Amino acid sequence: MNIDSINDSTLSPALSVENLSFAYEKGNYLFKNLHFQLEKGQILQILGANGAGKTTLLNCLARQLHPKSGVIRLFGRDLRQISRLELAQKMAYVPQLSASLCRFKVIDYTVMGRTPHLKALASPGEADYGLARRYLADLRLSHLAEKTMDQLSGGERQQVQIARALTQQSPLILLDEPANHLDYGNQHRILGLMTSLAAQGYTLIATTHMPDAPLLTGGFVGIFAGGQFLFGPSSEMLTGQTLEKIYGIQGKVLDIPEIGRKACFCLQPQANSGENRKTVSINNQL
Amino acid sequence: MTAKKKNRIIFISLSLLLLGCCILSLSLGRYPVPFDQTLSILLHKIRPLSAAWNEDMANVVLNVRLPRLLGGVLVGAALAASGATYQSIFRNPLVSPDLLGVSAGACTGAALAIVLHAGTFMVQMLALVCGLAAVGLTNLIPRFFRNQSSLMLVLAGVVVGGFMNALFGILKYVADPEQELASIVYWTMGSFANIKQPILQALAPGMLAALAVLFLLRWRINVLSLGEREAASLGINVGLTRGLCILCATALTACAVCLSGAIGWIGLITPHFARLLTGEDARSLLPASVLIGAILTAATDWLARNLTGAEIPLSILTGLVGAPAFIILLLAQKRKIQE
Repeated sequence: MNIDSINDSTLSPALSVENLSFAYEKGNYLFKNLHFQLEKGQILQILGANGAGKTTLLNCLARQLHPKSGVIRLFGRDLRQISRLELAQKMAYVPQLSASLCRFKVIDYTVMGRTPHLKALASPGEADYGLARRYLADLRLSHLAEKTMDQLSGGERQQVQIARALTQQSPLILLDEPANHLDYGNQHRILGLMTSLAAQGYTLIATTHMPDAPLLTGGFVGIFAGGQFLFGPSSEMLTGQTLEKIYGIQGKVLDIPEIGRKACFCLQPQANSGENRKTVSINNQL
Repeated sequence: MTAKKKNRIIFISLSLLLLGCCILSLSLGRYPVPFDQTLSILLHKIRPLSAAWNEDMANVVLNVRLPRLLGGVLVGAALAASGATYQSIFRNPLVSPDLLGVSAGACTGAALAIVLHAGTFMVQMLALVCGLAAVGLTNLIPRFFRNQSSLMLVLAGVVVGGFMNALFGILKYVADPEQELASIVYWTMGSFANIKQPILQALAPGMLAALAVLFLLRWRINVLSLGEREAASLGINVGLTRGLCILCATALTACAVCLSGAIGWIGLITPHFARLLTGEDARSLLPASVLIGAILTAATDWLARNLTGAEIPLSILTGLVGAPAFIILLLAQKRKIQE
């Protein structure tokens, strides 16, 4: 389905963030004066060490947390002035994999994406089920429709969650660590799916622990490092220096002609670098 | 649509089973009435038939057994519906309707009325009021801490339940052991013997209304069971919807406890039975729970009256049957029960 038929919005950017600051405790800012803008069809991947503010930023964008100051505009409109239903019609959220251990049938889970389009007290009807089936078919998941969610593998479950977000027909999709807990093949399958969704006109924002992810999907990267937020095209922003700044490891980003793209490497995994060990091991895998 | 067909078969069989239990319960007892005559007595109310029964039979069926049966069926339906709702919105299959302190509150209220030598009607009313007050208190605590998560609410329920149990203990301690204490203990074991027409007429409309509201919210209950964060991202007003569900489910439990005393197990295991038949979806889980809960209480009450000469308190039967039944249920779904 073409996203233009759903998204009637004008020339204003899909998402713009101006001077955003957030603090859990008074005066102790997690980030300050954060600034960026995304056009329709662009991807933003957010990188940062554990606790640096990735998920907090995502939660601010989803209006789950309230920033101390600054303005977030969704298709030109102040996020604070959008009604609950309209927000859900414009912005879908794909939760982390661990959060979705329910026993609904895949088709019933997918059709929940229609909830913001239903009248109060209504249940989804034939048309809604038709849409859900169509998006499951788009992602080649039709054969799973009658299974229950807890019977699926992690990779299948993540794809069904994305099918639900598509069924929600929101032009902007937030994904909380979509490649987490997936095997090497499924990680890349999800990233490939994100790239093709962006090509269809969806705007995507994802957090990730995989520094190669922004290089694989292209688009923009937002980096939490050393108390700063850096934003720019991923191929320019990601360098050995930024890897060091984010994770405290010696890293290098090399352009590899054989695969036609840049890739991240960790030079010397340091066993004593505490917090960042997890990232080191991910890098070694790649 | 095989799923739809399967659901239809389930609901028709459950309804027939409920009807069978009701006829059985109306006919059998210390004064047996033949089945066909029970049916004629009931039908006579709708369309006059030539009387082939005596006055005593009609009196037993219509004035003694029918209110008790209707009350029992309503109690079962109420406990089951509220159990299913609680388990869905708190995302926990071990939750029962007294999670937020409603039973502890109701017991305290009933004990207070018994110690004050109030009549049966007052015992029931005070149970209702104190049950609702306990849950009101539970709802105030998260507000006080400005933390509206469901975990906070559950913890508040534990606190209020514990406090109410202490008050209940004081009342039992000061009660006269010969009569008052005995009545308190009997009351907490549950019985349908005290369901008379006036209290039924007073509570039934409210209970039916609460059941109807939960049924209207069935899709929203599904979405809420995904968790607060996801429900909010799907455009649900989590606080309002969850509050409404809790209000209805709690009112149902409070009314049930007020009619029949505390009856264990029904609210906990009925949704598990229903889930085996219909799956997780509240759109079929809720009505299936209502029917199964009604069948279970009708059958239990019939057993309670007929097993021995004296009437067996309901909680004893539901516990004796419910605990092994729960084990069988767990066996049936052991693959699915993990973390």
